[in-house]
Amino acid sequence: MKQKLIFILLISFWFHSSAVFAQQTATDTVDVREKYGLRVGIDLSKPIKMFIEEDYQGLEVKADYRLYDNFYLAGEIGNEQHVISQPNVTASAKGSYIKLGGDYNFYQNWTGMQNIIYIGLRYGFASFSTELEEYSIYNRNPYFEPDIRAESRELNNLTAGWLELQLGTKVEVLNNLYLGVHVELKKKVNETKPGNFDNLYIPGFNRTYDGSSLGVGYGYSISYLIPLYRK
Amino acid sequence: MNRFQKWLFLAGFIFISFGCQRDDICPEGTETTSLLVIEFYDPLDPTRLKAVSNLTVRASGMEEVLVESSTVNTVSIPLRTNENFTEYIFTVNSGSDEENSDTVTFTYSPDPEYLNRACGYKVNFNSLDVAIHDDEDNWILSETIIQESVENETEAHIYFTH
Repeated sequence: MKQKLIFILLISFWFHSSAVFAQQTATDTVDVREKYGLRVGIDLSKPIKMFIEEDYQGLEVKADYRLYDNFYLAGEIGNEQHVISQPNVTASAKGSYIKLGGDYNFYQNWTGMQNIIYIGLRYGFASFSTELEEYSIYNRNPYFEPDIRAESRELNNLTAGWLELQLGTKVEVLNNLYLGVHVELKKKVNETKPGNFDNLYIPGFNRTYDGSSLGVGYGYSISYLIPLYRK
Repeated sequence: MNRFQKWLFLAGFIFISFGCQRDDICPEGTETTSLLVIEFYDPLDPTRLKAVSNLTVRASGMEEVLVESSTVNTVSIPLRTNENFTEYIFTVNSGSDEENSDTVTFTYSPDPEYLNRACGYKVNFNSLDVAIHDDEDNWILSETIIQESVENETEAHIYFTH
């Protein structure tokens, strides 16, 4: 029994060292300089959301460009349409947005790998319109029948700007093909509100919260790196 | 990687706490559509509140009564938000031989005002006017409009003397 254990141990050592050795020889033949280039992709969470939710439409294209070793210029551009149904208000918002900023990678890769775990900062700007579809007059006294109004009101030329913090990761799954996931925390900095109403949903910013300028979001992405040079 | 996990937990926590959407329920203390507050005064001493005995209040066209035979010196009544007038029947000494009904029409312009996503809208009643229908035996002697716009219930909007 004891002999058998020692034998297994020796075999495992042998396999282990050979595996390490094999790895070393492999990396010796690979160009270890890192790729620099333009990475272009789309957000996958939006088509998924379109599939799940009937009253949502959205598309987002994203790109980043590696400027320095750990710093990427990054941005997103997108279009969304969403209906917000609250017990007392139903409204839809549609419009386009752009987000510009940068990503900082704080993950130290093994040689030859180019995954990133990043913290990103963006300024986002949306131009959109809202349609107030239905609302009810809130009345605590139930003596008269409820007053629900379905007169539609179109509110155009709305804009909003926000700062956005992103935290996420991009992993190279195939050569130059990346899958990513990230979360977003946003703070609204400027906004035009429609008269006698509010922005319940801002494309790119997502839903708003009463009495708070904060917002949240997330995304999954698939992107392709167009390598331009190595360094 | 450990630092990343900490950030991920933080982000996850923030995300979840936003998920509990506190602002989807209209809070109890929100000033929503106001009731019209009427106070009843003594015609001889217009600073003294005078209670109305067995007052019954019902809107024209409604089966249900709003105030059922109670002795009060102030009533709060809802106005129709989808019309620019509401007609009420005020009956004094209801149930007795001295029963007397007066019909009063309140006219106004209802203006919806956005509150928030949970409550929706309230209606403010502006340019309030009141007319007591003359029936040769009015128990309401006079009316005074104190506030022309009905936006809250902190003070009376109309004084009646009887």
